[in-house]
Amino acid sequence: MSAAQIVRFSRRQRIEHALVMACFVLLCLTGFPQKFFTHAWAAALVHLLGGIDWARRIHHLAGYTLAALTVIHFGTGLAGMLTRQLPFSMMPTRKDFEDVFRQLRFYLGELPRAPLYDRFSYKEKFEYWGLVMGNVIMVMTGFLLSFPIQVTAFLPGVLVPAAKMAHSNEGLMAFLVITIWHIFNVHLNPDAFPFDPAIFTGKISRERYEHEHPLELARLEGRPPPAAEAPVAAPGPVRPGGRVGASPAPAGYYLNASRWSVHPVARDGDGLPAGPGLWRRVPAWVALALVPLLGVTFLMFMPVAGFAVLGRHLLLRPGRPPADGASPRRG
Amino acid sequence: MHKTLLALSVLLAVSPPGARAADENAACLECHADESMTFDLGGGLTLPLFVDGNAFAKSVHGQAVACTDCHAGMKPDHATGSLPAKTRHELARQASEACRGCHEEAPAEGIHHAVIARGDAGAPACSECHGAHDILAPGSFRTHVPARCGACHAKEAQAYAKSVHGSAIDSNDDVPVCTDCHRVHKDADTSPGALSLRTPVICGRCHTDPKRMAKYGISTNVVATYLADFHGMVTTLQRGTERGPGVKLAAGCTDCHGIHDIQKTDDPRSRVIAAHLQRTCQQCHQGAPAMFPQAWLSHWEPSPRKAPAVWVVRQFYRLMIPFMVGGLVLQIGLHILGVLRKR
Repeated sequence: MSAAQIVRFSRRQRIEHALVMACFVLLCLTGFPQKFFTHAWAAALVHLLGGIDWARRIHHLAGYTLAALTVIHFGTGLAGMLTRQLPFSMMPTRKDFEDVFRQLRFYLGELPRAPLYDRFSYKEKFEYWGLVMGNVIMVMTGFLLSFPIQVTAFLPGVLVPAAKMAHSNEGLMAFLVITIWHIFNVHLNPDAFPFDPAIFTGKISRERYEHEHPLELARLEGRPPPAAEAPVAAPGPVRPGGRVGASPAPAGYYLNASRWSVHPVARDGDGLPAGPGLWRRVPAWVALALVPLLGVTFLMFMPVAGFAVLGRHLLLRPGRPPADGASPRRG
Repeated sequence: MHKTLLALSVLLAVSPPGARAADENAACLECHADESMTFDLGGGLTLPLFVDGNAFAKSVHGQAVACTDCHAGMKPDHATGSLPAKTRHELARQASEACRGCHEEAPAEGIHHAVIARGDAGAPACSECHGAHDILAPGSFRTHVPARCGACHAKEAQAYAKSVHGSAIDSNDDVPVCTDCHRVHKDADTSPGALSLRTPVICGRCHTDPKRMAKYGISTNVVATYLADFHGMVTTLQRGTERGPGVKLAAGCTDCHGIHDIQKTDDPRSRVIAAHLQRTCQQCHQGAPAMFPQAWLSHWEPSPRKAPAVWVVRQFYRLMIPFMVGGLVLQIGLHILGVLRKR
């Protein structure tokens, strides 16, 4: 039994998810009646919670908890990146931008195969960055709304209604993205329907892992990537543009400009990831700045991609490629 | 011609009882026209027995009601009689029963009834507000109302007289008198804060009426913009909550603008002009700094000119939410399409 199961989420990650989920539910239950206060359901819900003062107390408590979780998450993430112990696996790379197109074109029948995913698919990365960036906005504006007297001692008062406008709208957007995107992709999509318990048990069957995260599984098991990838240069000495994939490298942060990917090398001599493109060493701040930058860019890119792929499909009506299907080109 | 006929027929119809009343009342006034006539109620209290015949004749009852219709059982020789009351107020409360003899439908509820029910005998009886011998037709005594209420509520009446509403009462039918806000026969909720929570509704009766507000160039958006803000949200959800120890109510209209002493928003005495606003906020928000009042948009809708920062945030989300959610729904749609296509 255990041999067929692969641990996907650590105990710590599962606890973190459970706490975030609990806070999120409480925040929605106590926040939306305040946004939609003219509706009868809002009044009923507030009454059930013991009045608006109690609703607000619960909202504040859940908000402070979520703020603390966010700070801890950033703190441990930053520490992990600075010590080069944490892989940059949540950072969107060029593959993710391309995977969106390839996956959607596959859905439309334009491509014969769906892309293969590593530890996190683009759908998961989008979800993660949506939550993280949403949290940053919610925590900052929520803090401003909690302490208007202290804040307006040194900042203009108009920030308070602006923060309220942002808090209320960002909250609504977060709610919609979670209920639509997260619930569909995790639970309601035909592969997982009706419920995926992985985030609560931490485990996934090997069979499913092979299906959903084949690139990560291959790496975990020390195999070459399952599908035919573009030919890769053999590991070797440093070239003018940087180091070839799979080469050993001195400790530091490495940027693969053609793959928009960053990789930390913890100890001198550890290998760079296999694959195309050259790895060039970059300062720590460049590596750390690229993480949120690509995260936010990817957030904005996602909704565009769907419209772009559908528009292209409707305009050009590209036919199905030949059955053997040339493998998607990669940087 | 038609009008004359109508007037004649009305006169004929009312004349028999009217004539009886006139005869009887003339008889009573033979004595009661004496301005110095009083009755000793005991305990140092005296009751004036003077009745102004002219005022009564002009009153709503003057032509049709006889003295004994209200003062039942009074005989011509009652001069040495006694009264079943020790104060004027007690007498007035007893007289209220006589009013009910005709005005059966008069509401037995309202703030003063509620005060009486609470055990406070000091609340006024019918005649103490409406008058006794000088009762005017409903609607014809607007301008008298503040003085009538002021007989007991002097402090409020004085403040009102100096307010934007009270100072215009003689020349302006639009300004509210006491009873327009305090609807004495309707609003019976005496719980602490009940009236304050209802101010958006009470003030809104006039201040959302475009016809009335257009004359003065006052925005009818004041209630909507108030409700769109934090205070409006909380007062709406606090409906039915009583103010008490540990229970604060969010600010209603009167908490910022003042109650009886309300002034134009550009009057130097107004609590809401820029110079006073910080102090007004501090009534609830202790220690509010000078920039704190800017957090309130002064009933303005966010726009590129007023509160552009708020407007920009709103426009951003107006575009972003449909764009983001629409984009994701589209991708889910393509996903489902792909699953169906494979089958």
